Amino acid sequence: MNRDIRSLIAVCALLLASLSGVARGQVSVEVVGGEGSRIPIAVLSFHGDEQVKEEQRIGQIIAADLMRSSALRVVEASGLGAGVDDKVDHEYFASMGTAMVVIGKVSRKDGAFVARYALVDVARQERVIEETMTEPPSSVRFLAHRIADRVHEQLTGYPGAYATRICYVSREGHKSEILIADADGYDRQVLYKTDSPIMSPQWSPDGTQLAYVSFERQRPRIYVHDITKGTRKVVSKFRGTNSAPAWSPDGKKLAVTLSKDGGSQIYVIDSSGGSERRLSDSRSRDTEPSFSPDGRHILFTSDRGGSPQIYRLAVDGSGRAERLTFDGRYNTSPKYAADGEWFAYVRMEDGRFSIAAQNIGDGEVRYLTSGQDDRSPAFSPNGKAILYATEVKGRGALAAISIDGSTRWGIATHAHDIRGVAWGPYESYRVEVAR
Amino acid sequence: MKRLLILSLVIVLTGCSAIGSRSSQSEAERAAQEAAAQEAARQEAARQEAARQEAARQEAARQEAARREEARKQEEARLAEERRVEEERIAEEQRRWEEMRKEEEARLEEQRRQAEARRQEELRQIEELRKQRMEDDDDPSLVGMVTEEQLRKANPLLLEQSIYFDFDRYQIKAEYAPIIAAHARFLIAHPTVKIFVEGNCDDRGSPEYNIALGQRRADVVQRALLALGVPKRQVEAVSYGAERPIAYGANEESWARNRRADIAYPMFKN
Repeated sequence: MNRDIRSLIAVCALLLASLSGVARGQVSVEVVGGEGSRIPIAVLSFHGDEQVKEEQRIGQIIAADLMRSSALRVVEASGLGAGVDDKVDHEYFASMGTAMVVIGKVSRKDGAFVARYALVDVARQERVIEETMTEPPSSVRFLAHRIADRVHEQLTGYPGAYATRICYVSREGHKSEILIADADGYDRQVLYKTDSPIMSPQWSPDGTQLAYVSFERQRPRIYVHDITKGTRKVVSKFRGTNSAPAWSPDGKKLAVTLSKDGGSQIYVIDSSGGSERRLSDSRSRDTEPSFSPDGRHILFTSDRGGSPQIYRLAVDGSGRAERLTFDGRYNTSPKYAADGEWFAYVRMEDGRFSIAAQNIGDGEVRYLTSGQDDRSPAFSPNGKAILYATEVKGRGALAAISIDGSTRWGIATHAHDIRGVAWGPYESYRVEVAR
Repeated sequence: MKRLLILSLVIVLTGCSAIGSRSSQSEAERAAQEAAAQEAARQEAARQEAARQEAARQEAARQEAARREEARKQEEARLAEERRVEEERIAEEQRRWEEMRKEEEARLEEQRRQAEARRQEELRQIEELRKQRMEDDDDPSLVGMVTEEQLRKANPLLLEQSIYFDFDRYQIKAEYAPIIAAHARFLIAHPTVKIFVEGNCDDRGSPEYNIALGQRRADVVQRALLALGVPKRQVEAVSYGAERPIAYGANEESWARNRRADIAYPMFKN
């Protein structure tokens, strides 16, 4: 079974690769710009990689991760291998055009994987990082993702969000599945399966819970699903429709859209259920709240101006809602980036829906994708990439793009129709999914 | 001449006898004895003949009696057989009647049982609905349930439960006014029936914003029902956005079918 999935994944990756050019394992990466400012880096095969299956080879996993960074350029070095204690031939790598080299060695100790690795600065002939990391045997890929995050942080100042997880809802007919996978699409697991629609999954800040909307009853209700325990609880079931949950940064509150007082308006409730407070108060349709990282503002969609546009509102009720988007007649689904400076959203032009990002401070707008039907943007926890649902040959697919638009990649999913995506916090990787 | 002959014969014969009688006394006695013996024998024979005849008569009578007895017995047996057959026929008939009676009884019992099971099932469904209302923090007395048959009998228009909208439009088209009025009348007449108005829209753009658009359609239909006098507690407007499409194509025809609000009654399930 697992093997079949893997081989199918490989086929999907090949298909995506043929569309975008470069492929590495589960993910196909398309570089569309920023070449000049990227730091060139080569990742050599780890000593010990040759003894394991391809998807467990640490050198390859790290290289595939770093290819998705908009700040790095991975120099092809897949044929080269070295031990962590080997001397790095600086001249050779300088001639290859790489500035940084990752070398390492993986071994097994008491069943666990132990990696010793180094990040070598070619020009300065210096080992910038040299350390040992250990992970249980089931998490060899996690070990590689953690090394990639460390290397990325060392070189760019922020971790790469490689050792994280994503979540998406796949729909086929009346059946819905909530799936959790690694950020690169590997190790897909079904969290929950049902015969009624599910939408809008949102990951709690501590990584252990998902909030989502379920239609298993006539009245759409919001559930909070404990990923580790496999238990779920209804937290919002007010008269009318309960939709569009968004976690507050401390995980204690959810901003939700309710129709209980007529129309669609935004309220704040406890994430454990109960005690609601009305946030938006308009005669229009207000929905899709997103909390700012400091928890003081929400972004939301409203058609109060005659067409759906994005607004910002202070959570403490002070001040009026401020309109942020003015370009075009359809701007929806705002999502705050981790820095609180940028937000991603869906814009429609000529009947095509695509992903864009806007800087709140100076109003700079970036049109990031050019799909027919791109939707449901979700930021990576480092705020540098946006995961979104798209379509490839009439089927639902997942893709991601860096916030600068320079790097885009597809993620194999097997989904039919994607009804919502979420990118988990760093904590999400350690969470054991209940079986 | 002839007369002469007969005369002479008689003379002869007389003469002969005269001769004999004259011959001796003992001879006559002997003859008498002989005659007597002969007479006795004759009488004996006659007696025997009579006895024989009597025996034969008696035998015939006995045989006749036996024959009659036999015939009587046969008749009796025939009658007994006829009686038996008749009795059997009657018994068979009774058995059949009894069987039919039992079948009829069983059929009625089955009908009663089914009706009872149906009643129990309806009660169970009503109880389930009541629990759901409580769980929804809703009025638990709103447990009226209907069947398609009931709606058809009340007003065939009640089977029209979808109201379609134009693209980006949220006004109810005039053609739906009689349908909405029919639903309003039914709800006013059935104060324990609570309906959901389920708003839907086509699958273009943000799924979450589409929920808000579907809500708008449901709200419009709800408002129309309330304006016609339906108590608010009997109507709840919800939105399924683009999550429950009835048409899946990416074309105007499919989109048009998904731009609708459905009126959903609590229906008894079979």
